[in-house]
Amino acid sequence: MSLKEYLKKLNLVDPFKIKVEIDDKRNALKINIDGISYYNIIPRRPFPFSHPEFIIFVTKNGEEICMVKNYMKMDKDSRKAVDAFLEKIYFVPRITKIKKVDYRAGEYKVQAETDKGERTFSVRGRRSIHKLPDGRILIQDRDDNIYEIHPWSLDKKSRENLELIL
Amino acid sequence: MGREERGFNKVGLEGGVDEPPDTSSIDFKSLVSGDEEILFMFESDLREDHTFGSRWLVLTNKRIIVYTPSTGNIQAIPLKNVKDVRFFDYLGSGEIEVELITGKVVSLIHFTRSRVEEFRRAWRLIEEVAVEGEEYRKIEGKCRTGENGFSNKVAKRDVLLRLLVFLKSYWYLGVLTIFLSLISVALGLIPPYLLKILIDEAIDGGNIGLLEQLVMYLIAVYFASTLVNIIRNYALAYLGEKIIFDMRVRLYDHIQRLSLRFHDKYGSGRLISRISDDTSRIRWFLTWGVQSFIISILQIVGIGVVVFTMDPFLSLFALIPIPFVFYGVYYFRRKARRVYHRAWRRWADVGSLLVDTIPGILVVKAFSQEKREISKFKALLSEVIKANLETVKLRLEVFPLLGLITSVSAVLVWWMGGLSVISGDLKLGTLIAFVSYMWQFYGPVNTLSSLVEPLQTALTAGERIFEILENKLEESSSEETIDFKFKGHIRFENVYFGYEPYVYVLHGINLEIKPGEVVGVVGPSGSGKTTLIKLLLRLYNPDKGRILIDGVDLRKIKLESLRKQIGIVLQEPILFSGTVAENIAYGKSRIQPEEIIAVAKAAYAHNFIMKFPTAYDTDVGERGNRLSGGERQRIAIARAILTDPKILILDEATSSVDTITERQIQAALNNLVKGRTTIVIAHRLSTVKNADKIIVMNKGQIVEMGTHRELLERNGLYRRLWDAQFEEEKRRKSEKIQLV
Repeated sequence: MSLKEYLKKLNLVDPFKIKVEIDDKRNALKINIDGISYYNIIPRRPFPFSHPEFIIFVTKNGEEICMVKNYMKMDKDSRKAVDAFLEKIYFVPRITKIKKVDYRAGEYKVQAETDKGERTFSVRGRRSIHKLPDGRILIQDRDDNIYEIHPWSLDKKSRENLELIL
Repeated sequence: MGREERGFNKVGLEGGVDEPPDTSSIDFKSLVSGDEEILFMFESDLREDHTFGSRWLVLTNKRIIVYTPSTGNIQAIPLKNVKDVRFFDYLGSGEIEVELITGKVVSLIHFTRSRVEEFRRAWRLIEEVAVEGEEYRKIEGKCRTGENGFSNKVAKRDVLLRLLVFLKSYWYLGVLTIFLSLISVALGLIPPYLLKILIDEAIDGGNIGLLEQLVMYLIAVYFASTLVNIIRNYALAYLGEKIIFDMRVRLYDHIQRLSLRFHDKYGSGRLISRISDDTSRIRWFLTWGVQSFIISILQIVGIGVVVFTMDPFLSLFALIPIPFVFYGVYYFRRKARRVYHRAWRRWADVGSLLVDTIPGILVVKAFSQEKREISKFKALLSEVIKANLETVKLRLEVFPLLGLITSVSAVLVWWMGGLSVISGDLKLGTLIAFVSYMWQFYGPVNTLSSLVEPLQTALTAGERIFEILENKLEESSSEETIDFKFKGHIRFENVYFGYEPYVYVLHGINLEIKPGEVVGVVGPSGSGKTTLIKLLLRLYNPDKGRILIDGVDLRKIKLESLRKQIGIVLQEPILFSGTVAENIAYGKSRIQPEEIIAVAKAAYAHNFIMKFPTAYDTDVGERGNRLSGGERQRIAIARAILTDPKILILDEATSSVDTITERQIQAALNNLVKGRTTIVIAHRLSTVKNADKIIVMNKGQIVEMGTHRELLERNGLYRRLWDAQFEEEKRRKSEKIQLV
């Protein structure tokens, strides 16, 4: 079978054709495609860093309903509903300032300010740091939390501190 | 290439590590009769009496000749008298013996372990030529190592010239740094001269104005010299980085495009060290080495001229320490490497002890070996102390003595000069200036003598780099190649191939595969299955015969086009560090995310990928080590589906995984195979049961061909393999039951 045929089977839906609402009773989303409603849905990102706009809607049991290539193109209310869930599922604070980096016993202790507030965490070393092709940097801490850094928007001191762990 | 000489091969000399032995004094032609042709020669390092020395095994199309140059002994066995050839591995040596048709067994040649691999080859060759038949005797004396041969030797002086060529594109930086160096040398000559005026005219003459002026000059000179040195050093470092960048890129580019045969020979470790270590050594030489050399010479000449014009008599005393300094520093550099390396190795021993015992503390305690481990540690530490003291001793052996010699000659200069000053022949300032020039003299002498060793290292490194660059690339641009879209028709026409000259692993393969056909290749290990595939990918060229795709000879097809249209899923799929998505998209640019998901689904990989929190953006680790074997395999299948190849090669993908995974991989493969010409190399026959055609290989030949049913009915090798595997599976199942 060729790639085209496999693509057809994906169920890639046009973002304009899909309506999303928050379903408070089920702590989930309710989506409507071409007049058909699906319940107990959550959004998942197959490419959380390289294509964060790409969404797969799955039921809480893991069954895939459909995919949207760019959910930002959905109507405003739907987008808001999706965002509310994504923020919970993909909790990746963005580091805005690196105040201090200490090296102790094979670990870097990082004191940072993020868009979600202040945070101190430990990083094991360069293996826990991933550079994305677009220049962003992801840091995984000792407990597998993930932080995002846009190096270009850091101040000079923070960048120097970042150099210490890169 | 230099390997082909007088129409025969000296196989024993291949490898490039050893110096080629001198064969010019031996007249091998006199050993053979007129119509006899020498095929190969191997040199042993043991004589008949088992003492070290040269002995030759010469293989012709008619005889095996063993010749000992030192005694002139010749032993010859006609090939037609040979019944069998055997090879023995002993401790410290090896032997080849020949069984004649009369039943007599003769020891042919004896050799040390250093030659074992060569003679193992010799043994196989003799077997092929003598025992297996006529075929090989008729190969028209073609030099087979020559055509795929690797060049090895580059003359030392050429290396120097060719290294300097790398400087060419940055000549302006080279000129700039030399110019700055000249200024720096000149500036260095000024202060003692000013000092002379300062003492003789300013202080002695009580001239405060002149004193202040001279002080200002001195400060200015030191300031300028510091500035010039900063700029020069930066320019040099910049030059060094540029050169090493060029060199590494050129080397890496070349290595990437060299044939697999070359990579087989060199091994990855050696290549990696050439790209990283050897280039560093050359960088040092091309920048600091060349510059220091030039500057030191200039300094010696400059200071020498100044000193001699000041006072030729005193200069003689200043010259006394020079041979000592030169030799002393050279001696130190030569010994230092050994001594420092030893210290470093001793310390490494301590490190490995720690790596062993600290993680293994449980075992140490369980066997109550703490005391023993502590004493082992102490013993190793004392070795470290000993080695460290050796380094101190070496330093103390050389430098204090050199210091003493120079100080004494300085005192002599003070003495002689002092006498001249008292008698009024010399001014005090001149003497002081003289002494400070004299001290400046020893610096460059020191530098020059320390350059000897790194120069040698750099030349060796350069030699090793050019050795690689000399090798021809896989596909020369002069060849006319075409690029077309495959339909998927494959044809092997009487293909012969061997990794070693004259030792064929494929004998006369004839095979036709129609577009869209699924062909299984089975046979015992070492029967040539994988080699078949390597030839199809043109990782190697056949030695005889040809391979055609859609009627076009492989050699005429553009290599890139060929490999893009052949997809391959290996038994041990190779992933590169990066994300899952990047690994799936490897080999294809501008991929849409949905395409990656589509192929991952087709390869039954999507579900496990989505279970990772970071899904397709998950880092697979170095060589994919964070994924299981089955996961890696499915990613490799997804990669193959994405490239959408017309011809697909599967090296049995279902080994060493559990049954559920195996079923998923099988389903993924079924997706992949649809509509493509597929060759499946199977180790378990059940995998290819449903293939359109099964090829059974044995000892490099196709022995049977047909469908599963046809082959079973034929009652041949396939039937035997099938029954054996069936039995094996039954046995395993019953064992499992017993265990439960």
